[in-house]
Amino acid sequence: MLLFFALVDKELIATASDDINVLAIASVFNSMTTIGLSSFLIYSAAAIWVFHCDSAKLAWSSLMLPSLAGLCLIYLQLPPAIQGLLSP
Amino acid sequence: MTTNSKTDKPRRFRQSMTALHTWIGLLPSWILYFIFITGTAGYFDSEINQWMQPELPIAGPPKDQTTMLAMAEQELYQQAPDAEHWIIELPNEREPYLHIYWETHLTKADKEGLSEEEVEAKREALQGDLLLDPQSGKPLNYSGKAEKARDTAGGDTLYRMHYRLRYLPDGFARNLVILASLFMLIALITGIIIHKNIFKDFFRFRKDKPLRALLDGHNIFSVFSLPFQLMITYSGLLFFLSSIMPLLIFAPVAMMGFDVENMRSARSIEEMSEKNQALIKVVEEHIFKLPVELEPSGKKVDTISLELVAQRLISEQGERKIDEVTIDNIGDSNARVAFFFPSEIDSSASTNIVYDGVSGEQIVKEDSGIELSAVTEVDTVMRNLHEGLFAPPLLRWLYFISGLMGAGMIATGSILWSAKRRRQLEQRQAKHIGVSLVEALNAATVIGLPIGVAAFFWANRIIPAQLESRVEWEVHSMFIAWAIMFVHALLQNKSRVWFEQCLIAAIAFALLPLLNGLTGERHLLNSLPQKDWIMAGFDLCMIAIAGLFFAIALKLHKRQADKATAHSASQLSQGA
Repeated sequence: MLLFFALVDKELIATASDDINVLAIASVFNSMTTIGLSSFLIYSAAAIWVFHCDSAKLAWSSLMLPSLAGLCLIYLQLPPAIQGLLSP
Repeated sequence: MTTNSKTDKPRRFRQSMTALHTWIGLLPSWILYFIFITGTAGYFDSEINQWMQPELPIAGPPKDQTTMLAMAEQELYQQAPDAEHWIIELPNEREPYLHIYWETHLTKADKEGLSEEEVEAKREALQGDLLLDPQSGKPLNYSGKAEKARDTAGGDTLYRMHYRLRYLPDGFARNLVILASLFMLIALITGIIIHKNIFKDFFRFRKDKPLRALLDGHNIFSVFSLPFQLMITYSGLLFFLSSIMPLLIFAPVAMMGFDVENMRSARSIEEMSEKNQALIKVVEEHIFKLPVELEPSGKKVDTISLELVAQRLISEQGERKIDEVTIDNIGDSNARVAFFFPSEIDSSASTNIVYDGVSGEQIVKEDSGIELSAVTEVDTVMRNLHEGLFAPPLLRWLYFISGLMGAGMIATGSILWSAKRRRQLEQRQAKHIGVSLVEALNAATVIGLPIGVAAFFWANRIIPAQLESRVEWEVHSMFIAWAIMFVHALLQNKSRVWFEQCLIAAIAFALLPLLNGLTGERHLLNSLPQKDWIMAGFDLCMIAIAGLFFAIALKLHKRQADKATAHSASQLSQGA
């Protein structure tokens, strides 16, 4: 999800004016639904992989640490508006 | 060696998945069972509502839609001529009455200086509803000289409990349901992975070996209804998408320059900033295709008669089943009449056609060029599949049976877990408080919860119809009965608990039709000859459920008797 926001067309952000860009909203809505629907499949696959790993070391090194590192990198690429939402 | 490592890998994978399936299935099993039982009952919420209001008379056959709309309009002019909004629900197979509602929205000025309670009281004073006879269009004549049908928690409460639970703070209950559903999804997928012989297990039931019978029962429930279980779990999670990933909603909102903080803190749309309100209007109109609600202009003009608009709709669209009609800004030049149609599997419930409430001209929306993607269509279909509102009677029964199979799958799974552990403990002649607790929870949930539901129905007829807090007490009765069953399961001898609770459940459900006869006029002796299928269906269903519990009780009794005979025979032979 965060990757999507990092890669999203910057023109969307340019619509931050008083006019509401209906097409941009629809495009975001479609993308959000895709992310939402696929997220449960990704979650299931990740959960199965983590539990299949015999060792915690393998689970952390193969999935969890790369994911955390990826999250940090993506966070830095996010538009400030989204970074603001993620800050405590 | 190579061959071994090749066969070892899938075996090891299946083993790890078996452990995951066992634990991830057991931990949320009691909550999931509650969700499945209350959710399954929810597929017949309207029918349960009607059984729980025995004062409702049998509805006659409805008149044609245009006449019914005209009758409803006439009654609304009498009941609430000054209201801003009217809603008319037309009768259907499940809800045979003509239902009218009226309300006037409070403006910001109306709410100024008032406390939350005062605002709520003012809002309630400006709204109302009434059930009409679909034949005469007049308010219903309630049976037993009652002025109105009793207040009841009804089937709606059972339905709501499947995602809100009860007595818990909203957020906590929602998170608990989400967590249980996420566990269920993994349990289903791992269940498929560990199942080597899906086709073979479909036909296998080894009833003479108790543990094997439980496993076969678990497999049969799961395999028979697998597509339903996958659909219902996955689509159920979709309803919680914004709770699981709030960023999914708020991030695009923030990116487009809207005020997220204002959106989060506002309790209603009216409290949001103007820009946020505008965004919500755009989403409602273009994404969810809802009719645009105009502010009243203040210019008084007569609203066109509903009969005329309905005739125009029929001439333009042909005879089409109408679900609901809303009339906004009555008596104002900005009046709007919107017709809503029954939801279908691939369309949202908001499919509608809007007319100008003064000229009667259809308001054709401008094409905004928005095309929702195939994924969004899938999302709509999944949500509609979950709710099953489109389902005709036969399919609704299939939903009901599949839901019960889901409950059966969960129940057999958790019983299997405790039965296996109990056997291991017996072999070692050991005791374990955890296993005993799971056993008590299993009995108290699997049989105790249905007893609680029966108590809910009993309370509906026993609690005086005029008692003010009767709605709450109907629900309290359900949970009190369930708690008593839990205490019973904890204290009673393990070998007797299941038999006794099954017997209690059988008696509680079997006597419900009799209770209906004693407290209402639409009992089986009347409902069957009058083809009153809603009431007759409920009573017959209760008898069928009672029969099922009685059959299980008999089976358990026979098994106990066999065990006792075998035990005394072995003691005799030892003595000899």
